[in-house]
Amino acid sequence: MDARVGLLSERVLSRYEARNLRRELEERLSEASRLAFRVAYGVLRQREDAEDVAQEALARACERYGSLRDKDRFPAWLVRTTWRLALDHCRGRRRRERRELEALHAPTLEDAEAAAAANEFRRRLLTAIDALPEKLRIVLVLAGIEGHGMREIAALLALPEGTVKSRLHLARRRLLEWLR
Amino acid sequence: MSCARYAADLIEIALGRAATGEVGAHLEECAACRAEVARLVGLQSRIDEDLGALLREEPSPAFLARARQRLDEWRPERWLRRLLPVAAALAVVALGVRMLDRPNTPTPEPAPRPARVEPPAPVEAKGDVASASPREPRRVPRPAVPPAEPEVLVPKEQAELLQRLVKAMADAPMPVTSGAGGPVRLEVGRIDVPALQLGPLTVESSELKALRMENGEGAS
Repeated sequence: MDARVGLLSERVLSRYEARNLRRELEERLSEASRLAFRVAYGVLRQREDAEDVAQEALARACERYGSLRDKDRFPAWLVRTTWRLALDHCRGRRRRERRELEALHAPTLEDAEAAAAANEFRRRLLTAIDALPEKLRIVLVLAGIEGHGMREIAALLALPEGTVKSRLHLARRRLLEWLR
Repeated sequence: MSCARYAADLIEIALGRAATGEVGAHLEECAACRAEVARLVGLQSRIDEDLGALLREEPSPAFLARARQRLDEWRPERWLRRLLPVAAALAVVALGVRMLDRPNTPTPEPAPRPARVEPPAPVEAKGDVASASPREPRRVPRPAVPPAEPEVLVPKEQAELLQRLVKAMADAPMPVTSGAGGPVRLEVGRIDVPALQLGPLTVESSELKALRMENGEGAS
């Protein structure tokens, strides 16, 4: 009889925990999904691909959410997962070619000459960003996402603030050297 | 020519480092280097602007809807369900190992069987049963004490075949082929198989109705 009561209590408890986890996830979902998308977009620069990758990352993050000891580490875990998935996705040569082609033909200015120049600059910039080592690139992308200061990036990447600052500086310096 | 050695310093200054010492003195004198610093500052702004524009993209509403749908499908105990096939596979393996181990273990002596209880003979329809509603199927009362031997309910024409099969199984060892490798012979010792007990078929009225439906006779 005691065992049955114990089993029932355990069941009730696990349901209760599941409901709480679900509510927590729901609260985080809007912000987390936007972050996942932007990180993926920062690597892939193609909306559909970025959305697919972000969805996959979110699915994995949701599956693991219950086993995360520190739930505040969820965004960091999501960013790392998204980043890895996006890089994997990016490795297909055909996708890269299509992406560059789209970036090249996206009209941004009225003046065709200026648009061509802007496109050329953007193409060079994206090529330069792609050539950065991963640890510099992820810092640069996260810094480019609105609202991310050194402290937030450090928390997302589980790195000291000083390391983030020096990596960002190094990334910017390399871009200036290549694009000057 | 002397400006080239300050190239790296100019980038640092464009990124915010203070122009001090030798580089600072050079910048005060060299208009070209000051212009280069201004150009690099402009370039850095453009990089930040382009990168910021790129990363200001918003996901489509469909994306958020899909994310929400995934959350609806989310179950925290999913990993437990993933373990179920593994547990089932382990159980099958354990069962297989146990079956292969069987020939090595001595066959235990058959336990003494309890005294056989013959199933009661079908009860003849009495007048009070016949006086019941004509639509009501005849009910055969179940025996109060269940028979010690299980009843085997088979059609009459198959009863004899079944008897012969059981006898053959009892007389001869049964070869068994393992799925993994070569044939394995499992020596099944002689089994004392009693004569089959063919008992009466008792069908409840509700079951009878279902059976008729199955046979396509309609519910009448």
